[in-house]
Amino acid sequence: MGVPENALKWSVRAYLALFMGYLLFPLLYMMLLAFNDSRIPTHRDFRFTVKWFGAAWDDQRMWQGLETSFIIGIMVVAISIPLGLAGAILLVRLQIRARSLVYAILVSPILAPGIVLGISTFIFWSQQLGFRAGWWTAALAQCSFIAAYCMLIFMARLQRLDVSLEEAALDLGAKPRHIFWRITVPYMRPAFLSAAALAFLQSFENYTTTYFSIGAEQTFTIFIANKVRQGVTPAVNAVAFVIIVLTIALSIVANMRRARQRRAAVEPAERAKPAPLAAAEGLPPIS
Amino acid sequence: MNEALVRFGRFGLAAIFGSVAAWALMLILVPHLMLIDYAFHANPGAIAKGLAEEGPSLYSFLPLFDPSDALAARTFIRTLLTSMVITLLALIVCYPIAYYLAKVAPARNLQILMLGLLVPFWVNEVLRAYAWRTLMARQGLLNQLAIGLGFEPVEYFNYELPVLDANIALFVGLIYSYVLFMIFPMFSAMESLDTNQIEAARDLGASWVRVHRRVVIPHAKPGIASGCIVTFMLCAGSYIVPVLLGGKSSFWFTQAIESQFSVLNWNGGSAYALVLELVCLIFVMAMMRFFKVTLRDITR
Repeated sequence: MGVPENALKWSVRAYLALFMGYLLFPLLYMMLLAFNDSRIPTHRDFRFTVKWFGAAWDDQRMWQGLETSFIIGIMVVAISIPLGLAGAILLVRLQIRARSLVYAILVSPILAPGIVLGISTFIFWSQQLGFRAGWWTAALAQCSFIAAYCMLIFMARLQRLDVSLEEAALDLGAKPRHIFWRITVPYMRPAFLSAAALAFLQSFENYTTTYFSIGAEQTFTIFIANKVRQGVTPAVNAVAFVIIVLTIALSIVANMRRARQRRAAVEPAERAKPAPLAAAEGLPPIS
Repeated sequence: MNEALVRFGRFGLAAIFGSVAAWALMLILVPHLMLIDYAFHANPGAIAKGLAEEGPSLYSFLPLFDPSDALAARTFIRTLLTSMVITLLALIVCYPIAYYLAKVAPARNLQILMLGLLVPFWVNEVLRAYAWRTLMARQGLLNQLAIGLGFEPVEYFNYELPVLDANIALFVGLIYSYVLFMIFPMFSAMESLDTNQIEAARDLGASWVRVHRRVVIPHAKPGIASGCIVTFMLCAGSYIVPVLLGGKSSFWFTQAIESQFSVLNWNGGSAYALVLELVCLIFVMAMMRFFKVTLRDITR
């Protein structure tokens, strides 16, 4: 019967270990070099130091870049969330005829190269309309695809909203704005949180779209890229070290939150509903 | 529509349609039309010199078809070919991993494995490229190991791969940067497959190859298509990875776009950008056709 199961199992494990090593080792190496007292980033003649963290901390342009990134990130969240929500309501709840065309137009920036988004925004807003290229143009360029991500998150949640809740509210005389603030918004809350987090992080780490639409300004990511291009000291590695540690911490927190939410969401529902017959007999439910 | 008016109110409907119209027009459609308009006009410098005409023309596309100076065309082909090879390679490398994570890994291991995948996924592409730059530099670990073992050091940034005409550092960096975009869509597509189906096929005597060909792959098609599209698009549209890892001979098409912009030739840059976008569009369509999936399947 071909390969014995045991050999297969071990080769899968070895492959997985190799792959994880390939993914993680370069990052670990980069983090390690932050602690070497050498003018160029290398592991040779390793002498421990933390001076590169001080050097990175003292770089004024890094703080300016961080500030710019934060401001653009907040602008992107503030624009993308309402746009994404409007798009989701339009596509999920309103039976318009051109639905698939609207959907295709709105999600197309996700499938377009970032450089094209950056350039077209720059050409239109800066060259044609005469706005100075900077924070605004960068935020708009990023919004063109980040709003679509937000919309997809909202659509997924909106599809599960029980319409009879809204109908009941209407029957009891609620105004549309009451329904929006009392039913839709509270129900969408988890989606708002994840969309905002995703929008901010995407904005923060974006390089290509931003670089081609921001003119002479510098975000944090552009600052790092410029540093690397100019030839570097291990100060960049110190920054990378901090970013990676923060990423790990954030991922763990997000994972724990999601696990807790899932448990909270599943348990009451399961207790309330009697198991459907098909599930009780171990068959896939027919829908 | 009347029902919608009652449900959302006049103000609500106006807000919904207004926002979506503004989004579609001001952020997507009009900027794109502008890009196309720029691409089909010659740059003012060329017009002033009498090299091109005033009205709509193909002048800005010409360098791509110039036989005397094949640099742009060669860059274009290199970008296209390398991106396709990387996409295929990523697919082959990631398929077993995605399957293992979705269907085989015990729940306890899955948590830690996912964390191990998510962390490099969230680390910026600039830093990912930088990590490989230090690894492959002359003082970096790879070369120092080679020297330690008695080999000659490798000039990763100038060492050309056969056929692809790109250097090895760029190739390694690109695949490292975008491989994870292949795993997650495949993983989520496979996760929704009922494990009973696989077991049933096994019980009925199907070999593993057959199970994958007849059960897993048909089910995971949207995920595979979406992974391929995203990987190809990110790879062909990558700018900073070629800048940091490509040698002198491995010019990337995005760098060709940038070099037009750096001499303030907006028209030339727009024309190149349009060509890149067209290629990505064709790739998306081809993938959707090949895997018989819709746009909705791949963006899910």
